[in-house]
Amino acid sequence: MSLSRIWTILRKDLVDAIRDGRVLAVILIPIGLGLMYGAIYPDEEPRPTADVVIVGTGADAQRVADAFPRDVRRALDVTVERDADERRARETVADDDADVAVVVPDGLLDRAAAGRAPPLTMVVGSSPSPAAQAVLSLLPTTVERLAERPATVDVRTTQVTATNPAAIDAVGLRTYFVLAAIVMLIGFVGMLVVPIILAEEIEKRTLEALLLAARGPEVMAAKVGVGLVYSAVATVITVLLTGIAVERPALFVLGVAGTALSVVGLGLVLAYLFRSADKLNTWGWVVLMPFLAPAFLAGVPGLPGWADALVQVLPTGQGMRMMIDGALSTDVFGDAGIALALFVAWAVAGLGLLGWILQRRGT
Amino acid sequence: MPDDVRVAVQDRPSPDDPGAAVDVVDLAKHYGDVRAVDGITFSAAPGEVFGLLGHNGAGKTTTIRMLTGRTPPTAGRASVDGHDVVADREAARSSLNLVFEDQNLYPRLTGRDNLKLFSDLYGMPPARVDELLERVAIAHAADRKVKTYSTGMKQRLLLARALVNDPKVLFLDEPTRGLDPASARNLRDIVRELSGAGTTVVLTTHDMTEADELCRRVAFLSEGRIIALDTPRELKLQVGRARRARVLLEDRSEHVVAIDDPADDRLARWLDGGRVLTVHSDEPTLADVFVALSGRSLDADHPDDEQEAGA
Repeated sequence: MSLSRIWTILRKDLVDAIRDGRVLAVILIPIGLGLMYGAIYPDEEPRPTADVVIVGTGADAQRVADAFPRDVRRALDVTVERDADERRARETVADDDADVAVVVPDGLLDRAAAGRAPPLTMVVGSSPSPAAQAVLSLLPTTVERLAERPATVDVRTTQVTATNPAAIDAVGLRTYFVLAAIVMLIGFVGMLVVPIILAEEIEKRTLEALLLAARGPEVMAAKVGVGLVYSAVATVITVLLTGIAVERPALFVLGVAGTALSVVGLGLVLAYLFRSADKLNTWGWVVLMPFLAPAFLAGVPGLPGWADALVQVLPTGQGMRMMIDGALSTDVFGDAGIALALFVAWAVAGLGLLGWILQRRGT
Repeated sequence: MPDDVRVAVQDRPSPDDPGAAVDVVDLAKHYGDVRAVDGITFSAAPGEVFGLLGHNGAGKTTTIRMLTGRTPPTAGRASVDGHDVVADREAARSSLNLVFEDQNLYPRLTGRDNLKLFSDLYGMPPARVDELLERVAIAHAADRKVKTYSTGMKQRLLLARALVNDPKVLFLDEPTRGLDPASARNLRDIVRELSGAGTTVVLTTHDMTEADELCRRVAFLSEGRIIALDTPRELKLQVGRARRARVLLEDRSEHVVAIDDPADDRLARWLDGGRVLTVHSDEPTLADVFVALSGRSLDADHPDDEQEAGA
């Protein structure tokens, strides 16, 4: 293989493809989505929000549930739910569907007013969010006010282990959706842009002219290179324009490169299956959308087992997980080794399938 | 082939050939039961313009695909400039180039960028691009996108692209199809120049006049086999049609007379009477020869066309 010939074809493709309206649109759409997500979910929320479950069936539980949101409304936007079952409330917190569960036993306020310091149990996750911590510090004040007596309760805090990594909470909605848009972008480039470029070459028979002057693997390597370069450039543009924080750039870059490499081989296979840029532009989405769904599901807590397995098996799901970890200072998902192995497996499968198709066609 | 037609089918290279630039022996390509090319043998000398003629689906395109190393043969062997097209494919490819039947250029790139791409792929110096743009007379439009070019300009650019590596053997697949007469004549002139400079040209065409005008020898292909191979003149003479003359008289009436028929003395009488305006020999054309040999028209489609096109 000649690197010089690969670079020559790659350079041509980079210049030629971007002048194709279809290619330009496919690249700009996810960048636009990233910007839109960045605008919809601002960095600084006007008030932090907290979901609180009040456990108890008595009148005291109702009074606390009514009073607490009013008492803290200037500092915290609280959504309160009632639940009679403490076990279920703990599961709600463990599933990250609530920040705090507060157990309000019958007669709490009477005993507090009598100065008997009744226990007030509050359940939080293993890594309480700032909103959960605010609830922990503010709620006793509400009880004191309702009991008309200071320092009246014995606050007991218990932690439950989260059943799913709360990736969305850890990284924030804004960053999460921008990262999902980046995975979408990589999917679009690998499974629409690159196949459109190759399908057009097949359709217009420019590929035959190229294959007279260069070897098949050189042409395919150049197409893979186009996918990687477009993915990298568009990712950098999206990150810069949205200003999302990337705490561990190396891990983030590995996630971007791994995802791009693992989908581009499949994209080239699509080019040989469709053999028409217009057909790809029309029907490629049907193949692509299920492939992209894991990027949006990767951080959603409480996924059914089959959906979680799908997220972890597809490169877009693993890419999203690795990019989320790269955006944070500590791992939410971990298992970078498994992700890398999966990227390699998908890349080998895609490029291997492409090689097999080309061999069968005698080209 | 009709029984009364006797035509040479063996290869007859010129005795002064220093060596074949294209050498094909028993070359075959089968797609399952379909014999797209069925054991053909021919050679072309350096500087020769050699024509491969035949109806659609005769095997011309498949033959060119094999000779340019784009499809492996099922059987037989072929070499270009002394390099086997299978065993020594890279060397063979560096000695050849091809003007495709389709105008397969990059329409969003300029003419110059189209040429530069292939010049760089072949490792040629940058000056080669300008030299070729001048040679095919499109230097004035070099920096325009190819999608703005006329058909003739695109064809000239295709020819320039095929010359970028200074090939010893140039394959032309229907090079003048769709061109206006002036552009076609211009392209034929370039082919003659190339031939004069020692480049071997293998030409496939439906245009029998073009083949007659350009080719030193032609091979007729039908159903994957060479049914005749000789110079155009010999082929026309061997068909065996009686010699005839086409006569235009002063009253503008046109007549065909048999020259060798003693009973037909009309031509002598008209000449004596001073009534003749023009006399032309009415020899068969290459198209007539092909029909006589194969029993079918050059324009007729063959059931295996699709197979060949998709090859």
